[in-house]
Amino acid sequence: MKIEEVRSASLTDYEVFKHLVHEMTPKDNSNIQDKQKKRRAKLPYEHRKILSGVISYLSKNKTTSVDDNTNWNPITMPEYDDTKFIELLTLLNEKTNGKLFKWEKLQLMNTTPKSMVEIFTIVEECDTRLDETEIEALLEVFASI
Amino acid sequence: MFILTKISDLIKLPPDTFNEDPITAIKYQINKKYANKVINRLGLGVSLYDILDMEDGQIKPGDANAYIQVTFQLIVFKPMIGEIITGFIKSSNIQGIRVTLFPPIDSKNNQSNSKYLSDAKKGSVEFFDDIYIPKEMLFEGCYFSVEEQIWVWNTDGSDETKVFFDLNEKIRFRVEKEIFFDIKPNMKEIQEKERLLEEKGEDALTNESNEKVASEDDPAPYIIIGSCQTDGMGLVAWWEE
Repeated sequence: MKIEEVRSASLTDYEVFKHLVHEMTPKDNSNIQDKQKKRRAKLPYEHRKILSGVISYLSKNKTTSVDDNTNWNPITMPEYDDTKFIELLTLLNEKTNGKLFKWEKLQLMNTTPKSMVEIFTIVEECDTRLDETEIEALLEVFASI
Repeated sequence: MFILTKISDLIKLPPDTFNEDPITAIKYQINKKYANKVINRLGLGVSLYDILDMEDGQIKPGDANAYIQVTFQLIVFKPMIGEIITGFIKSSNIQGIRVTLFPPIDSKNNQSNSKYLSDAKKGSVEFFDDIYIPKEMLFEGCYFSVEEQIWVWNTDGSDETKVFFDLNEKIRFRVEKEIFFDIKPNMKEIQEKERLLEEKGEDALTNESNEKVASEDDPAPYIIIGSCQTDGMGLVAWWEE
């Protein structure tokens, strides 16, 4: 095994979620008769274990309390699609006049902050870099989803 | 939290896969080899993302397998230093708090994520749970309550301002450090597991792992150290408006 490139890209939670759900979706294997083959059509044991784990983390992650079953993060909801995601990202850029770093935008998309204090934890020196209207605009963007 | 890592590796295809679609067979082998495994100094492998390049198969004398050099991208769980993430409090002791990323199973209401977890029994699902927040990295004014076995944060000295790090609650923290230990996998255990899987299917394995509860002292190959020291950290519920 050789690691060619440690970080060829960073993924948002949404992209990971989408890929994993796609992997988990059972493929049609009803016409396979051979027992040996049928087993191969399933995912490897450890793979399935971690897939379910990550999916349940990503779908539970953004809710505010553990008992809350309704309030899933929209980013990880299956109905949430690519166009919506791009739309959100463009809004994010416009509202902050491109002042945010890529890395901060990635985290904002992952956490979809609903309060000022959450934005302050992610964006370093937020009070000097962004003015109040920009922060409020940010909150508005995430409140809309 | 998740990154893509480009890896090239010689993938072994056993003879019984020769009549299958090669891409499917290779994907299966890569996922089998890398999923849910910690790669030293990298992170926890989650799933194959895509295959970039593959060469022709090779054979070796006296060996029935085919070997193919494949370059692919793997989804790896590796939080960046300084990243803010949330998890759930798994346990706490005098040393600090242990956090898991797998949501606690809600006994009252199990429908929440049943869609993807329909076949998941206890023990057959897992996600990273080696995150520790040592006591030095908690807020100032935190102390461990021996009676209740949880950490308490006394925000400004008086009794009325106490808040509690209750078990299973959702906690937000900053990633401070990652530590890797080069642990040799227990080959005997792995072979035994594979044999069970081969002979009796997955149910047997699930039962087995339920019986043998992982000991707290089991060495973990990958540990994340977190901190809760600035505004917005700690239980998520504290900071809601």
